[in-house]
Amino acid sequence: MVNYFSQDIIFQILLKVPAKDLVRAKVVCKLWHSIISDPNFVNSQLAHSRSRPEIILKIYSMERDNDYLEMFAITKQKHGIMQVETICNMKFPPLQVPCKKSTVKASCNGLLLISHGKHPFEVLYVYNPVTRQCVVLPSMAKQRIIVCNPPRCYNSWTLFYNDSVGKYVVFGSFHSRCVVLTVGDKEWSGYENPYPHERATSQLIYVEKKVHWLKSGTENGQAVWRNNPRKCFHVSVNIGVTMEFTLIQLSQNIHAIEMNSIPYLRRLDSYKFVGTTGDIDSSTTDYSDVVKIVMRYEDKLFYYDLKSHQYKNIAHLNNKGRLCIEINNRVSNRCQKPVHSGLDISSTKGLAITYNSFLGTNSLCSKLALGENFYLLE
Amino acid sequence: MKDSFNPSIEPPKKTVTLVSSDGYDFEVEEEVALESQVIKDGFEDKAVDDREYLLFNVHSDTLELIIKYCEKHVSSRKSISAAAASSSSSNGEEALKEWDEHFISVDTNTLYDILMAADYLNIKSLLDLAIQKVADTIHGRSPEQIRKKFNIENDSIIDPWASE
Repeated sequence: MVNYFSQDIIFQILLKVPAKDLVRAKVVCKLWHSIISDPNFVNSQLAHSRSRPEIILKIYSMERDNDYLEMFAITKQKHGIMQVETICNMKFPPLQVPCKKSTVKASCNGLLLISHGKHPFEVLYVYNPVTRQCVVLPSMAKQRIIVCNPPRCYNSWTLFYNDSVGKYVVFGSFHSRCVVLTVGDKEWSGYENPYPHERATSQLIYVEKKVHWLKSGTENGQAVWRNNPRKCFHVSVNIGVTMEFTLIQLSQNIHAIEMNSIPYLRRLDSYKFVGTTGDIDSSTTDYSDVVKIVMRYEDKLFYYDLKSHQYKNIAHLNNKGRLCIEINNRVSNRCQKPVHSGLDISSTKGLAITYNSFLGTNSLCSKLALGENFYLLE
Repeated sequence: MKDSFNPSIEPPKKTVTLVSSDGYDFEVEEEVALESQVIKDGFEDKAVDDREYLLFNVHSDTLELIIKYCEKHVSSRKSISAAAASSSSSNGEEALKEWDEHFISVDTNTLYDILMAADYLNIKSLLDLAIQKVADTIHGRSPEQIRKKFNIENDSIIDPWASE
């Protein structure tokens, strides 16, 4: 083959090889090694694997102390049913560390952001489950600016790929602070958040140079009195040289209609913030300039338009014919207990479903490798 | 059979002659030949009676397959657009995919010949199909098996990630 195909053809062939196989293909010969190690190849491969669904990640526990991580490759997709094959099954956490308490905080392009230990002494690392490589991020505790008040506050994380610099960025949000680190840098940067949250926020989502999240309570994070209705806010941060925070209050309709059978307001974290999108329904109208938040509440998926303050139902998730996953040729409808939540993020195009804890039938499934696309596993 | 290859029975269709590396002539319809980007590029500049292409890198066995592929794609594209125009439902694309899958299921040497020819003639869909097929053969194989499959000499340094 070496003298048969040109280097360009080998490049094209290797581009279509799944990441897991690339690790092995790298040692076939020096030419292949140099092609696969080339940054140009890495970028092309990322672009290519982003364009198609590839890997599903599932984390579950079967025994009391042991968590497992399982990955599937999607082999076929027909009529909304995916067929998958297991490509990896291993203990979680993947690294030998003394602390057992580790959680997946975020994921992006198939990489996981994993945290060990308690805030603010946690150790964060970015892990590639396919190649089993990892990058440990610098400690935050050494940097005074990071420590937040109160120390045991809710924190949320996201990991995203910054196209303009071609690097991965970790973003964390605490009570009134945000921290940012470009993977590979030595120091974190801290920023004051003018819209603090006193409770858990939704997941953080990175879309078009902004990190978005939802919070509930009051504008400035002050305590909510019993009679005072809790409000729901959308916060976005422009990631750049200066961090600009924007706050939008969501209309009360979002609660009222979704809650028609429930007389009181649920906590925000029962809404899973799925993502923001520009073209969820582009077949009928051009929404490209409209920012929407896609949310899941119980078995309904809907989006909220930040400009018109309207919401629209997208889908019922409890529809097996529509969104389900086939494992080893049978539709799996009951899975082990989920261990990690908050991993769901959705795609920036089309309808992608996230899944977390589903009305008692518990499982966690997130699709990796296709940008931040996730599918439903029920 | 090879030099009497004549797919068109109706006389008014314009044809192009493709000559394989071992000297066989293949007369094909113009639109079939135009599937190749290389032929398409200089096509208009050529005189109508001089539409002959010498394909030095394509053996007649391979060329026959390539022409079969292009004819199938030209004809099914027509039937798909016809079905779309009459708004009748058709699974033409599915069927074509299946046909492609069947077409590319050939032995390794033939596959490589098709790939090289598709690259030389610049037929994008066929090139993608062949590349995907070759990439599939890498899936799930150990480095040693890949070397054997592709006849590559082991000149590699040891990589810690290759252990499994």
